[in-house]
Amino acid sequence: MSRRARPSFTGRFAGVAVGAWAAISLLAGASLMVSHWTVLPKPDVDDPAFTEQLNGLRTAQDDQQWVVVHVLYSRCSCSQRVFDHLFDEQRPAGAHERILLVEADPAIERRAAARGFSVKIVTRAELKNEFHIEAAPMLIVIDPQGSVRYAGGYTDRKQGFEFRDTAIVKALADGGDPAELPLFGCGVSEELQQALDPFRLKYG
Amino acid sequence: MGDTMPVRDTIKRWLVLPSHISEREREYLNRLNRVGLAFFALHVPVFVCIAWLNGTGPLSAFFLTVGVLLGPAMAYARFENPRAVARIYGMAAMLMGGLLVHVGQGPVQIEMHFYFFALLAMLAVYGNPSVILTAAATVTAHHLVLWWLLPSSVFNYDAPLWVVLVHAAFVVLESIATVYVARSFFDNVIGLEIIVRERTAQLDQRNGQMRRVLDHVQEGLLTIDADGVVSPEVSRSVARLFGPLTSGTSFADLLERADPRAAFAFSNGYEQAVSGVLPIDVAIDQLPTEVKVDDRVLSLDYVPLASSDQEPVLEGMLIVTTDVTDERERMRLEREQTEVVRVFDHIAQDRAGFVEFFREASQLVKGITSDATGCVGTLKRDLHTLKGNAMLFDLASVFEWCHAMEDRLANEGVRPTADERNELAAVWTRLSDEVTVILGDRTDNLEVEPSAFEALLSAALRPAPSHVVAGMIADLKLEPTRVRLQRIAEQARGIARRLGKGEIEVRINDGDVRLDPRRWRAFWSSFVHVIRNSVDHGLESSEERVEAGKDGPGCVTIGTHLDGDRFIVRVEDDGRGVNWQRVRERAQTLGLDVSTQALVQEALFSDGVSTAGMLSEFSGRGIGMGALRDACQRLDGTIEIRSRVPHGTTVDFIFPSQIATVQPHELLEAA
Repeated sequence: MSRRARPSFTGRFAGVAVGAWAAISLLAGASLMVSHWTVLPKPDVDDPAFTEQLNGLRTAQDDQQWVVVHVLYSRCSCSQRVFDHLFDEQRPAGAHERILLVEADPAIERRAAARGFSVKIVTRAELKNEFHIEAAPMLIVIDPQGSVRYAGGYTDRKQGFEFRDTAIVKALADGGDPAELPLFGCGVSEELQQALDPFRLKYG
Repeated sequence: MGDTMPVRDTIKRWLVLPSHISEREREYLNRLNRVGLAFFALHVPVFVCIAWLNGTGPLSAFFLTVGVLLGPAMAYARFENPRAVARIYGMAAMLMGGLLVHVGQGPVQIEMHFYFFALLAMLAVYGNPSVILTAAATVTAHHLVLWWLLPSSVFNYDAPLWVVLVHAAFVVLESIATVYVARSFFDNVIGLEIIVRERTAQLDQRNGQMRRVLDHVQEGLLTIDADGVVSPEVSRSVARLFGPLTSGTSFADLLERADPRAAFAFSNGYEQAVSGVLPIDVAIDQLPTEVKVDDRVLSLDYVPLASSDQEPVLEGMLIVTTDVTDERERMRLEREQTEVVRVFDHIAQDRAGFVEFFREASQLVKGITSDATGCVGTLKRDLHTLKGNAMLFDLASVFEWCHAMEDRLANEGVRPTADERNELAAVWTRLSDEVTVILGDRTDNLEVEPSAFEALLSAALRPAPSHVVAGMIADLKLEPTRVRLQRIAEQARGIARRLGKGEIEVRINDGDVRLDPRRWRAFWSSFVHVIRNSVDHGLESSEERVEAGKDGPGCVTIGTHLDGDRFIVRVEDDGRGVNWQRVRERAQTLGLDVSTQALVQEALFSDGVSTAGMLSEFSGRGIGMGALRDACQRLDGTIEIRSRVPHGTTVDFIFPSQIATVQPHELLEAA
């Protein structure tokens, strides 16, 4: 009977260390990926409180007009792409657009002002408690009668190249009923961030 | 159950490498691991750049990538087993892929997933399926953890289950293909040394088993190639019998150690077989079948290893040597016993004849075994005479020794060696001991016929003069030629039977002659040669006699008579007659003068001239007649031959009558 030689102390230590590394890496990797692949929750558009809060964003100029609300999170890279899209590209004429910005960011505010966007700053808690929204970026379209006709994502797939917001608004204005796109991006509320990033690697 | 085991074994064989890591593999893996670590280290700046460009946090990208790099770095630094390091690399590769997806998030985040498949394929360079499996297992574990953390995250884009399964199927398919490639790479490149070693070990094991067989068979088994070189795999008996083998030793070399003549014969015969000069079977028939090694006798059997073509070419040979010493010894003892029985028979049938043969043969044996430098002609005749008489008296051992020595003398011109002479002497001594036991001391008994006894008694009672009675008493020691001729007749019949000529007729005309047996002993001893010639060369076979229109069996007439002042001993047969033309031609090739018929007849008694077409065990060497002529001339005799083809031959041995008659004073002196 041949007996396999016992590994040395350093060998055993290395084995334990690599094992720990493997476990931590797996957990960390999974934790990072969770937030990427999860379809984020959307608010209940039939909730009167939700509709009421959104209509509160209307101004006098918006009366009897379609209103587009962009819910964006200053610390979310997915929202950053939406900012770039809004500020750098030609916006559709006649659209009354508002930005509901979670957590203030002077640079964003300056860019928004320069492009003529009206910006309302809210906290993460206010977004959840008042607007019942927990994730961003989210596109919301309200018809002239004050009904929420669209609440969803901007692209067909996660961070897709083509933003569908202008097409969605036009379709609605033309009497269509475009399907709501899945919502990918960042968790904003404390509860959602905890669920998506239990080890606080992304939102820490 | 019975079918699942082979499948499981096959899968295991594909997935699990041999446990031993060869130096070649270790060197390769160490080099690859070194390159791999550098490759992983390069991910740090690359991922930081991507994160910076992509706005996904270069600092976190730095720490995350370094964190992943820690695993392979520790394994490389601390693990002794390079395969274990490679497995950690397999895991690290998948983690790096995940990091790229994270830091590369954006419009091309989906495309970043291709890096997983690229890395999985790259891992094939390790030639180790377990590295691929570790990577695949990492991906699986990753998804399980995702599912554990947030089940919906596995079904991204709200994908249904089948989409997730398709996603997994691609990984499984690539893993299977990569495992196949990796294992093939190991078998044919990295692990070739191990495979060769394993195959070599299997061959060694098989050879070992064959070795055990070869070591325990009694026969010597060996094979030789076309050059006659012995292959290394031989049975132990070969080394035991022939001595140690070295590389390149030929079978002829082995034989040379024991028997140079056998070695020479083998070399010649085998060369003829290989070169195709002779058909393989014919050439093998000429190879030595027995060889004596030290005190052992080996039989040699040959099995040709020839190509399977229509005209087979000898490519080698299996040689089986069998130690037949014991068998030969047993046969020798049996033959000796048979010889003793035959001696006893001959003594019982013709005591005087056997005693006389034995005395004459003893003289011949003495001459052959003691004289190593005498006249070759005399030696040949003595051997031939001894051989012929030994055959007539069924002394096979003596016959064989004489035949062998005569063969060498005739074919190679080599005189009997001291060993051969000693062997013959030993054989004869053994026979002498047996004969002495049978005969006792009564070898000189005088046998008196009743008629001679009555005549002598009558003469004594008359009374006859004393010198007459003395003469009659002395005359008792003379031998009637009738007795001698009867003995020769019986020998002639025996020769005919041995030659397959069936029963022949032998007639005797003794002429009521009596001769001094001592004076005529040498002549009668050589006389057997002319009898053999008549039976062997003169008389035809039954079929030939029928074709020649001759009725009945062949007939030989032998007789003695007084013809005036001549005493004649005659041998007459009704055979085919002497082919004088053949005798003439043979004599001419020997450089003899054959210008007259008398000289042709004279040539018939020269050594090497024979009337035979081919050699037989009885005659054909052209030596016997020479010996007979010498014996005849010593008695002042001459020989006359009359022959008519195809009616027969008559040979007269003519002596002066005085030599055949005995004077009373001679008898008295002898008495």
